Amino acid sequence: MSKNLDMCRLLDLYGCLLTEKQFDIMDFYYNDDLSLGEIADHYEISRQGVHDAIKRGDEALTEYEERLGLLKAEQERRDEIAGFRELALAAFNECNAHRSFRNVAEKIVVLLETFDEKLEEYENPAPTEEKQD
Amino acid sequence: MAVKIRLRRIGAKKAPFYRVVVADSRYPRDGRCIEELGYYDPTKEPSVFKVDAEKANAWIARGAQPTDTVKALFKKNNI
Repeated sequence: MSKNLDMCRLLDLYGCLLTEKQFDIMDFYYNDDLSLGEIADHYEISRQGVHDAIKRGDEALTEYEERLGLLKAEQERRDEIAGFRELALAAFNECNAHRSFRNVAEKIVVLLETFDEKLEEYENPAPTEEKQD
Repeated sequence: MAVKIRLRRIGAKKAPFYRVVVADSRYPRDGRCIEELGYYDPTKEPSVFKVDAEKANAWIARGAQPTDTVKALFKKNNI
């Protein structure tokens, strides 16, 4: 399943580079959890054909990631941000433990809150295209 | 006539999140679903899987087929 999850993410990133039909097949398979047989019925092709298409798609997506590395870069950025947040929290705890530094602690909290807000804005740029069901 | 228990993706780009639904296999895409059983969030560590076990078992007893992915998730979570 975690391999599927990676494929899902790669499909989000590089899906637009696939042909439309190939993307649709991958989308059915990974995002709507359809079986090979169901996809085959839908397109009136063989199960083997669907399987091959998905395998080719997997390979293409993996190769894009190998060459461009967007997913890896994003993960690294995320880790970096998480590390920074942890440091800030530690600083807050340290200041909060001393009466005379309480005002500094309060400032750190405000900064952290602003930071989280900005991050939220960045991660979810206003109305995200959600799938309708 | 085949009724399936499957995952359906919702959630934003790059943040996969799934609903576990009971749906007719003839209408895979257009969002018709008979009942919602719960959800699955693979982005958390460990992943979060929450379904109404009673309902799920009732559906399976009535012949609903879980997809392989859902079957694996059921097994992992002892349902």
